[in-house]
Amino acid sequence: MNKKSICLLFFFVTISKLIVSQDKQDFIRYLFKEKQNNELLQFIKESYWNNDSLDYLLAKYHLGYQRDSSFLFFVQKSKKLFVADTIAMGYASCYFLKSDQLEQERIEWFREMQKNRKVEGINKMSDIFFLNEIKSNLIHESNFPNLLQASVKKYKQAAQKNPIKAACLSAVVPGLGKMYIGKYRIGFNAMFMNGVFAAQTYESIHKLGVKHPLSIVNIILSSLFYASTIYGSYRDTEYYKKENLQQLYHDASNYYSTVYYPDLYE
Amino acid sequence: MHKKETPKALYFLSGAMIYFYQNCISEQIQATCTYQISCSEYIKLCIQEYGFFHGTLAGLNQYMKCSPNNFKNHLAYTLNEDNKIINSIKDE
Repeated sequence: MNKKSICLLFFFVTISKLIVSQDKQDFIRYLFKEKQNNELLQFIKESYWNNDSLDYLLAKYHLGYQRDSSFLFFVQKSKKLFVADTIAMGYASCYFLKSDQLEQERIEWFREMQKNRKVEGINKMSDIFFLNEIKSNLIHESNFPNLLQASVKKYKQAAQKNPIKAACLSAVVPGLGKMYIGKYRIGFNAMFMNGVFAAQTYESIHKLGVKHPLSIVNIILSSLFYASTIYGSYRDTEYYKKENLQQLYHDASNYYSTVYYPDLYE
Repeated sequence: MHKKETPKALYFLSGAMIYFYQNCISEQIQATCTYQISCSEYIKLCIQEYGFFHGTLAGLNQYMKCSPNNFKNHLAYTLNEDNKIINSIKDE
């Protein structure tokens, strides 16, 4: 064999490998778009022999169909390849904004992986959320897409609420503290129940006297409900802040996931 | 919140009252709760976690919020598949 034929053979083998791998990727893309889950999984398992590529594709497959534990299992094996894939990483970081779905320990590793990446543009936004760098006084609605602006505004408003103020308001008028955080129905409910207990206590004291057992039971019950309204207003305000941040994460996750999901295999 | 020591008598008394309610009264009145962890169970768990005083107040706070009328005051993600409000002792 002369040099020319060896070169030609080498050239032919390289080109054919490239064409075959391109065909494989096209077919995977086609199966993903047609939502042929089982066929896609079978094709990946049969066509890729290299362990790293196989684990990377399996991680991507489980991410696409939102199987958290399987995704985390395979992504740990193919860390380098996965981090290099910007779109998959973007989709994963958006999806995992809803971190309450997973155990804290499992996502800690994922967060560590995120910290070491340099990201730009839309991907940066999800990373900012993810690393808990979000601070109510620093963010502005206009920096976010239209669909997210309402959630951001609500979160900013919630962050300004003071739990002690809510408790004091509830001490003055039971239920007012709950209205202060925008929960009008719950506030009216608390006001009504406290009113009923107060009226009942007043009536029993007026008719039976303070020392009567029924009056004592009524006094204990009404003061317990009154105290629980004050204490509840404090707790609800603290929870209201967390709740709104979590809602913002959910909205952001849903929004950014739709951006990345169709391009997962592009 | 730190757990406070509850006198044993109060602990058993509240436990007995909740046990009586859950096994005798609740079924008779066909009580339905809007929360995933029902109000009586929530009070029981809160007393175990936070002690008698804080636990009772936190439990009564949920009891006062427990009405189908209040569904609109809860965010969408806090509702589960059975349309019950997801609650946990640590969050609220």
